Parts: sequence; structure tokens; C-alpha cells
Amino acid sequence: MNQIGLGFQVMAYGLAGVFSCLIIFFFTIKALLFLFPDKPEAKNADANQ
Amino acid sequence: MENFAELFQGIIHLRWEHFVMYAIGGLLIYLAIKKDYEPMLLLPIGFGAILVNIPLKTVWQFDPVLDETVTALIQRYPDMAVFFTEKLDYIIRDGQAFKIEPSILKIFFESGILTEIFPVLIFLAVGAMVDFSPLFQCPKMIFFGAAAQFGIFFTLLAALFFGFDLPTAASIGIIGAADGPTSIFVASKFAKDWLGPISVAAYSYMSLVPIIQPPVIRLLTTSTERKIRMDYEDIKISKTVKIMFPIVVTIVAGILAPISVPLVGFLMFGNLLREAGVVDRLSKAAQGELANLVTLLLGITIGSTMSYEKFLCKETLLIMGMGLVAFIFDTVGGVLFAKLLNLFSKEKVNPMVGAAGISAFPMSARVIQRMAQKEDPTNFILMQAVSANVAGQLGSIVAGAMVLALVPWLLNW
Repeated sequence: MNQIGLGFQVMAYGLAGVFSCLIIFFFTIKALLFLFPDKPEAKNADANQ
Repeated sequence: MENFAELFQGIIHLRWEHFVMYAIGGLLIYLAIKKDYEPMLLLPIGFGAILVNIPLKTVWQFDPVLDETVTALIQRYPDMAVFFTEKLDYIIRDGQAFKIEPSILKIFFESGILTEIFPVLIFLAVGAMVDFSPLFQCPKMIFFGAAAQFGIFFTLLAALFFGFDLPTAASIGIIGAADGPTSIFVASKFAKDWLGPISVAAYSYMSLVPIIQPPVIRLLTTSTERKIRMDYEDIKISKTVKIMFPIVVTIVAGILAPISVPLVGFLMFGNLLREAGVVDRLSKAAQGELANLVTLLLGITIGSTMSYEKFLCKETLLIMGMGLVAFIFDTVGGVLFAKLLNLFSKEKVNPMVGAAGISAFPMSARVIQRMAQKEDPTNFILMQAVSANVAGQLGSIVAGAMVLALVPWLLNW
């Protein structure tokens, strides 16, 4: 029974941990996309030179 | 006459269990060649299983050799016998110490698997192959990469119910990561004796994703739900984002779960090589030569853990069965999470995309697209499914790291 109890703890903490990490990755991606947007005009300017 | 018999030791030591293992090895080779099920791994695993079950196992270890120095030592200090038998591959017979010299596959196992070198190098290669762009296009799909890890934890509970201890149950659950190197990484830490069946289950079921997932998805969704369309906007991603992502994720994951660094760090290092654009030779070497060489050695070494003494037991059947449970409940977790999101969201998600949150890339995404087109030939959800699938690769590694951190913590190791 004790082992099953530990199993439930691994499940609860584990799922919470996975979701937390991926939520942080989600905001990381959002932040990176916001901070470093693609700049097509810069590419065009390089191409024209 | 006795000396003459020594010439035929192979025949003398032959047992019926050897033939069963040849059949199992042959089956894996058959699946690899005829059915094209993960041939890169199942073929070497199958042959490794045959090699290690040749009588006398000379490919694993040589005959024990009497070590007179150690014999004298343990006769003087009997307490030291435990150290030699447990740590230094000695056996004690009639008060004499015999050294067991490792042969080629045991050397590979001890230097490649137990030290984690092979799985970590595979992560480096996988990182160099993965393109995270689809995830940047639809970042919210990342949540399915978390939800579809449910099977890992459900299976862990099931394994505990069947009497496995927590570390072994965790290793069995990790089959649900649908990610061979993660399964091997965790099993090599927690369940070395079950490395063979766990790896075989992980790779076999990964190749069976097109057979396992569709019935589960159909059971959990209605035809109307499977026809849900999802908008897709093609956003250009800057090179800076692609370069920054592996660096930031390594730092963030490393701080949150330090134990994940060998996994996440090498995956992201491989990805950085790919995205940097200035080390094409290294990136191609990681994707090609390195991946091929390590896969080859990993496969045959995993196969060599399948000696009949360890493999032919009811636990192996249980592990294979629970591997299937893990994949089924991964799919259940992903689909039900998508349905849950649909209760609160205006923009509906096709629940099938949730099932693509497992790490089996790109099979799962392809399965989902095929199912969507079967319901509505004009529906195209491949990109969203690929995004969820890529997220699953991250999710599975994080789940592996969680298990590696939680089990020792809960057991006060």
C-alpha cells in the first residue's frame, strides 16, 4: 500500500512538473518570438546590396 | 575422454531456453526486415539476443580465472569477499576467488549503457535532426506534449500494483515516453536487470503507433470531433529564435530539474549545431555517422542484455503488456486533455491532435493526419499534429527527468 501511495505521489508531482516545465517553455517561445521577430526588410536590404 | 568432451562444450551446455531466445531474436529480425518495424534498432537487438544466448556466453564474458592474490586476500580478510563479488566481477568458489573477464558486449554495456554514453549521444543526434519550427508556429500545442505523458504515470501505478518496486515500476512506466533513449537512460539507472525487455517494448510499440493509436482515438472521439478544422498561420521564424531556443531551454530545464541536463542539454546541443548554420559538418556528422554508429552499438548491446535467465520469465510478459498500456494511456491523456480544453476554449482543437503529443515522431503526426483525412478529405491538421509531436519529444524528456528526480527523493536515497 505504501508503494502505491508513493506511486500516486510520483504521478502527482511528475505530471505537475511536466506541465510546469512545458508552460515555462511555452512562455519562453512566446518571449523569444516577441523579442526576435523575423525582419524580412533586413533580408531584402542585404539582398539588394 | 573428459578432455575430448571439452571440445563440445557448446552442445553440452545447450538448453531448450536457448532455442526460445533464438526464436525471439529471429522474430525481432523478421519484424525489422519484413515489416520494417524500427529496423535500425530491432535488427541489432534481435541479433544481440541470439549472440548472448549462444551457450557459454563468450560474447558477454569469459570463463572465470583463478586469482591467487585475491584468494589469499579474502582468506585473510573474509569481509572483503563482498567487495570483490559486488564491485569487481569476482565469484568465490570453495574459498577461492575467480575473476570474470568481460567480453566485447559486456564491455559495450558497461562503458556505453551504464555510463549513459550511448543514450546521451543518441540525444545529441536526435537534437541535430529535430526541427522545432512547427512548435514555434503553434506554441500552444506544447501542452499536448505534457498531457500525453499521462501513460507513463498510469503505467507506473499499474506496475506497482503487479508487485514491482518503485524504481522498476518507474522504468516500466517510462516506456510510455515513446522515446527509446529516455527509456534506456531511466532503466539503466533504476532497473538494469530489465533493460532488455523495457527497451524492446519501447522500440516495438513506437513502431506500432499506427496500429495502437487509431482504435483508442476512435473510441474516445465522435466523428464530428474528428472533423474539427484548425486554422494554421504560417509565421516566419527568425534565425535568432531558433538559435536562442536550445540555449534558453537548456538553462531553464537545467535550473528547474538539474538531473535533466544530460538529456535536455545534449538534445539541445545537437539542435544548436543544426540551427547555428556555421557548423554544418558537425551537424551532419551528428545526424549521420554518429547517429548510425551509436544506434548500431546501442542496439546490439541492448540485445545482449536479453539472456534467457533474465528474459524468460513472467515479468518480461508483464513488462511487454504494460508497455502497451503506457502507449494506450498516453493517447487517452492527450485526447481527453484536448477535449477538456474544448470545453473552455472558443477556438476548438481537433482532439486527435492531443494524441500526437507522444514522442514517436513523426509517425504519430502522420497517423493523426491520415485519420483526419479519412473523416474529411479536405481537412489538413498535419502541422498542428507535428507541433504536438515535437512538443512530445520535449515532454518525454522532461517526464524522464521528473521520474529520475522524484523516485530517489521519495525513497530517501
